[in-house]
Amino acid sequence: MPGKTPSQAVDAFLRPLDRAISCVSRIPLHADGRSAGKTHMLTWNNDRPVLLKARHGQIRLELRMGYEIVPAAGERGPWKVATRVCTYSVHASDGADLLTYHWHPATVREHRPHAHVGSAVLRPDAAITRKTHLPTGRTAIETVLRMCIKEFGVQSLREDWEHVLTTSEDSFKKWQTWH
Amino acid sequence: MSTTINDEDFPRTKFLSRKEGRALFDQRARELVGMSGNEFLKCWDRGDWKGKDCDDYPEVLNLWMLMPFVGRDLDAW
Repeated sequence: MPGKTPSQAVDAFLRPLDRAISCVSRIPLHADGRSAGKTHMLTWNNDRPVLLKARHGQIRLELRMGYEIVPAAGERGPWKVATRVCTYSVHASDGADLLTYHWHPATVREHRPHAHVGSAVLRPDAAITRKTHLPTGRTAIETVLRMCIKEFGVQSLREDWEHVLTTSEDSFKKWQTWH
Repeated sequence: MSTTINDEDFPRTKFLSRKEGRALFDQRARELVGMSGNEFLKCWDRGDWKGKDCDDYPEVLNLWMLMPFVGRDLDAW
């Protein structure tokens, strides 16, 4: 998302995320800064999974997203926010891992976006394990929130949730860039 | 039941102060790996997980991502 200043770029980045989160929760995100030239982090609920009422009980959702404010040219500038790392995890109500989306290019093994299936939903003799990297492409938190609502029956807090998530996701796709 | 809320009426991201960020990091370090935030950073700087597969250390991966809250950049593993 572009901005005339680093601070404006962060606001343009965060506003759609805040709206998207409001589809399922009133708990705000937490961030550490809005200065250019270093990676900042975004987390939720003091970095603890958020309990969401779902069709069959409850699920827990957690997220962390690293972002950097960088100079950009043309309509993307003069400042924009680039995502550097992210993790979105869906847990059962008891905390067992169900599904995790990862993108952490600075680590040693898998640099591309991927998902892990939690051991709670794998047979002991399954061909894949909780460590298997399933390629996903870049995944927006809005995509995960939509999955939570449509597939897990998480209760939405606003009637316009689909419009909010689609608008925010379209913005993510329009402005996303790789390193 | 869902309702259409005033579009300005949603929680905004809160920016934590460095002191609040350190408290968050310390609390999560104690919960995830059973050591203080400072102890974790000493182990990190010593290279205890350098070059290791982060999938074997999901709690460390989580803490690594929180390092900006204590003013640290995300070092490569």
